[in-house]
Amino acid sequence: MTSYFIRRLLLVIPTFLGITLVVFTITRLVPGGPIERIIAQARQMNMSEGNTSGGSSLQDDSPLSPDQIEELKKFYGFDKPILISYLDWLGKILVLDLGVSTRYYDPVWEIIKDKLPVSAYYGIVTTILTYLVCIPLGVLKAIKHKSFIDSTSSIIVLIGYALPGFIVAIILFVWPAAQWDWFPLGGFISEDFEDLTLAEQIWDVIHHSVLPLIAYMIGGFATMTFLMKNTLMDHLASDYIRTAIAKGLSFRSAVFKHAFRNSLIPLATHFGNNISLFLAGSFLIEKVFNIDGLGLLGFESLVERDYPIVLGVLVITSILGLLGNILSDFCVALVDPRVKFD
Amino acid sequence: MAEETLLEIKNLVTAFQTEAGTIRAVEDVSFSVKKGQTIGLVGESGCGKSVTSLSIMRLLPKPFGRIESGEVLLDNQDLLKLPANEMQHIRGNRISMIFQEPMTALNPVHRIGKQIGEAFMLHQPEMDERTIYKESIEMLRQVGIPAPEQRVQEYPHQLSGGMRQRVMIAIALACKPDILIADEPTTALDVTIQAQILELMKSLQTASGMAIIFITHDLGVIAEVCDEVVVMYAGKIAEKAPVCDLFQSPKHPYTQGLLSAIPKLENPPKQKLQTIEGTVPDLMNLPAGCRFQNRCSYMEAPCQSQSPLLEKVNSTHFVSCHRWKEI
Ligand SMILES: Nc1ncnc2c1ncn2[C@@H]1O[C@H](COP(=O)(O)OP(=O)(O)OP(=O)(O)O)[C@@H](O)[C@H]1O
Ligand SMILES: [Mg+2]
Repeated sequence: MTSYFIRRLLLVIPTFLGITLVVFTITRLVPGGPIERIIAQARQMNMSEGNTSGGSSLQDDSPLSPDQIEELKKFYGFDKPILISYLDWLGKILVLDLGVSTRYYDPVWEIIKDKLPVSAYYGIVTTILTYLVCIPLGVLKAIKHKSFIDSTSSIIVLIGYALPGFIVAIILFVWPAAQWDWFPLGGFISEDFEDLTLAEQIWDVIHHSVLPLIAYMIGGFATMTFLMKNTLMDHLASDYIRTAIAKGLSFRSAVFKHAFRNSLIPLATHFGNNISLFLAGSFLIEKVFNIDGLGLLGFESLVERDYPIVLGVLVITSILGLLGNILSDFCVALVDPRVKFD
Repeated sequence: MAEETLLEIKNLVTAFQTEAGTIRAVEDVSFSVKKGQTIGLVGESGCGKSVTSLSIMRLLPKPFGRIESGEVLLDNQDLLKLPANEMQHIRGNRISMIFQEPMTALNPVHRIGKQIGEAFMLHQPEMDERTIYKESIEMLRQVGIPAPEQRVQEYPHQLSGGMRQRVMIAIALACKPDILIADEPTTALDVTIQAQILELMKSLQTASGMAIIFITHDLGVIAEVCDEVVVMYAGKIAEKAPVCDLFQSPKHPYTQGLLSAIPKLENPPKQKLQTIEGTVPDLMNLPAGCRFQNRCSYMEAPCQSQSPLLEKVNSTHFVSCHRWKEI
């Protein structure tokens, strides 16, 4: 088993190289990179200067001299072929140097590190809550198949599934938060967080996160709940449940002692995927609730062509995703003894 | 008969709710099981053997299967009237059951030992964990599993089909039941393993004195293990007799057909196999009168209008045919 996981971890490396190389190349090939941004900025500056002084219109074409551009290219590493500069970039990654933001001129790692706790909080809490809701709900729906509870919860869960998360976020933001003032208007913590007692701090975080969590989770319920319900129903109809009852077990114990663990296997395969998905966040939800997480950071950096941050976020999320996959395998191995890794 | 009757099934009727309507998979089935006896239940696929046994155990698939009427008397107590929790004390304790498909009958994520031990835990709560563990190993040894100390730690997927059926038998016999219902326990196994399992069941029966209800469609197996035979056809009993009687003087045309369908070594090679022409009637639209009429060469007018009753041939032999005296 250990050797299997070591092999899986080693396999992360080529996958990681593939993902980053592709994205790195794209950042090089698409127009609108940092140099063009600086040129545009410079032009704008010149124009406003030109308007006030009415002076030189010598540099219409390019506000910067070829020398300056050459220097910028060197600064951003654009002067070398893609592969070489990719290797440069990669070499720095290994020592956790993700470069410097082209917008803020801060080290990328520092910026990401600031956002990580928020994203980790939402990612982990969303995953845990999703499982805490979906597993019992799925079990209930399976046992009470076709009952009132089953049908009603199906309708609710499916509505949640059909609504995009950011729409839910907007609805929650407009009414419970803005209109009725039940919840804070976004943010992760209050301004005066530092001055609160520990209990108040915990309450503050919870109070801020209720609405975003609902927005995050509402779409994820359907898949997990129905997966739980359907696998459990399959297992309830299986031969080994009949054996268990023939042994003298009550139906209830047969469900919980026998069918339940078997039904967790498909859910376990989703675990790592879910947690990495939620960790990466959704920039739309983060935007609505003004949560300063990785999703929003990645999105804004992409719009602003802040490639070091884009790549930095990519590094973090792809590593999380790859580790998440291994975590899934590990979870499956925990519940299913038939899964052997060697 | 001096031997005491252990289990008596009286006029059992079991119905299924299906999309096309209600079907009676078992109708008016009665037979009794005496202590230490082996009763064979034979018949073509779909004649209601499994439904009969599941009805006795009250294991019918809910909510579609339902026992409409009848009694299942264990020591004169009607199991069909027992509350669910008392029925749990009967299952696995006084009546055990093993199933046709050993490959799927065990829980894939629990160790063998745990699955055997569970029976002890349910019915002999005074046993502590170590005794249960030892007893589970002992059960595996009894059903002829080599290296039981090691097997007890393994999972079902590490065992072959024959091994798994032995484990099922170990589970079923753990609490020394009075009756074992074996629903085609060897059908899914190859012939040598089949013979071993039959041998095992016979020897365990001799040792414990339990009664067995043995379900099969293999008359050869019946001849080998049973004392009495119940032949079922389309949900009803066609004939019921001690095994020698049945093989020597079958009264029902269906039983006769079944017996002549057994290939014999004396037959010249490559000869066409004997079969019973036609197919079982659809339980949804049964003919009026005898259910076997469309396949019967002795069919006459009354067969088409009146259902035959189970008539007495002698004190132990019963047949459900209008014309049994003539044929
Ligand atoms: N769950 C069910 N729903 C509806 N009908 C059923 C169900 N189970 C059994 N039946 C019906 O009951 C009849 C008897 O089935 P049963 O399983 O007892 O046959 P069997 O004699 O055990 O056959 P086999 O030798 O194939 O095991 C079948 O014709 C089938 O149509
Ligand atoms: Mg059957």
